[in-house]
Amino acid sequence: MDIFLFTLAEDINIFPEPNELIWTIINFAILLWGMHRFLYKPLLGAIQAREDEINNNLKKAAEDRAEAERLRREFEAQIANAQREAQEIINTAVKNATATKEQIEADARARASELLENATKTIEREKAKALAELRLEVANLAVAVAGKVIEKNLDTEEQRRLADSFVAEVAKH
Amino acid sequence: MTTFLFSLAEAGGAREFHIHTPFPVLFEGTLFEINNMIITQWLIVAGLLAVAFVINRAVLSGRQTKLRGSLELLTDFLEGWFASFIGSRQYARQYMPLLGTLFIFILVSNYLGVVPTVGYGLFAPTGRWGTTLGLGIVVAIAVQVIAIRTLGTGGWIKHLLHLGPLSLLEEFVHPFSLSLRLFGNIFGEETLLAVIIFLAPMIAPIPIMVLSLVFGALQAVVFTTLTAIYIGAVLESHQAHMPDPEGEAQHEPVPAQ
Repeated sequence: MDIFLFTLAEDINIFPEPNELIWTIINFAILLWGMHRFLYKPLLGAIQAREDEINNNLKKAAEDRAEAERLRREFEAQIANAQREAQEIINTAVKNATATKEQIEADARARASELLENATKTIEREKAKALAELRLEVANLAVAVAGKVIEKNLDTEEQRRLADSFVAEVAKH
Repeated sequence: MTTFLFSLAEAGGAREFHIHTPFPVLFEGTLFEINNMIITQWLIVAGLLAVAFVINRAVLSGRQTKLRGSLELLTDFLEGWFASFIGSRQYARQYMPLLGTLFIFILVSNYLGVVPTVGYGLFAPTGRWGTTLGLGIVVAIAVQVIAIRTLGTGGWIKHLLHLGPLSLLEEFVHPFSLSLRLFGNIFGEETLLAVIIFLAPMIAPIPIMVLSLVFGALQAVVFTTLTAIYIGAVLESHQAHMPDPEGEAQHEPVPAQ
């Protein structure tokens, strides 16, 4: 029957050997350099670049939004301004129209009263003229009548007084 | 397979169980002695670099494809994962290469302990404390370099002075705690697997191998996440000092592990 003998080999040494330490550090340094050069640098660079791009895009989007907002405010202000100006124009037009209307009315009224006045004056004048003509006619008539009466013995003095009183009487009417 | 770590010697009817260590190949006895574990590390590094190069040429330099999108999505996910420990996505992105490389290197190393290898050939690097302590030292140096980069030299010294003796000690303990956790787990796993294979080579090792796959990934995640937490602690102290240039802000010790 076999006998199992567990014996450590004589040269067993689990403690770190200086040469193994040194070579491990050298080998790891080489590996680190290579891995960084071939693997991590491009990979991390790509990730970094993508992140930068995303951040830039986000920043740009925020800027665009701010710009859009600014434009919107500007346009709103312009629209408000235009509305205000339109209102002003309407107001001015209405005011002008009202003023013009009042002016026209005033002119018309003045013209009418002038016409009326002229007509009244003309009538007055015509009336006076007619009265004067009438008075003359009556006087002449009276004189003619008086002549006829004088012919029937009436002294001149009495005759004239009669005629005048007659004429005055006629003129009153 | 971890059996290369162990040999089954038959001597005088007894089956003897040996644990083997890597064997020197070149420059034996010098500081730069190369053994089969280091050659395995080279193979891992070369393999990962080759994959990275192929991905770089085939996928990353061309147009946007689904594969490239998936890779970017994965990177983005990892970045989010690390950011949850580091505290900011920007810093997570900055230190992603270090964390990601640590993760993939440890993962592949761990899995080499499970993948069958022939004879004494490949040697799972994370099954050696030398490897894991090397990585721990890399992390410790990286954390201090990051601290100097973000705080400035004066700020870094001030930060260290603010830490207090226990927290200061912790800064030095980090590489050891990181490396021992990883090494212990992987070495233990391999030993267990070897013993199981030794006792019952046919079916019994399969559940252990599946577990090894899970734990291998888990240990890679743990190591990387803790590194991220250490980096996050340094950056947090930076942020804590930031609004208070007088340095009156109390620095909370790092809640490690």
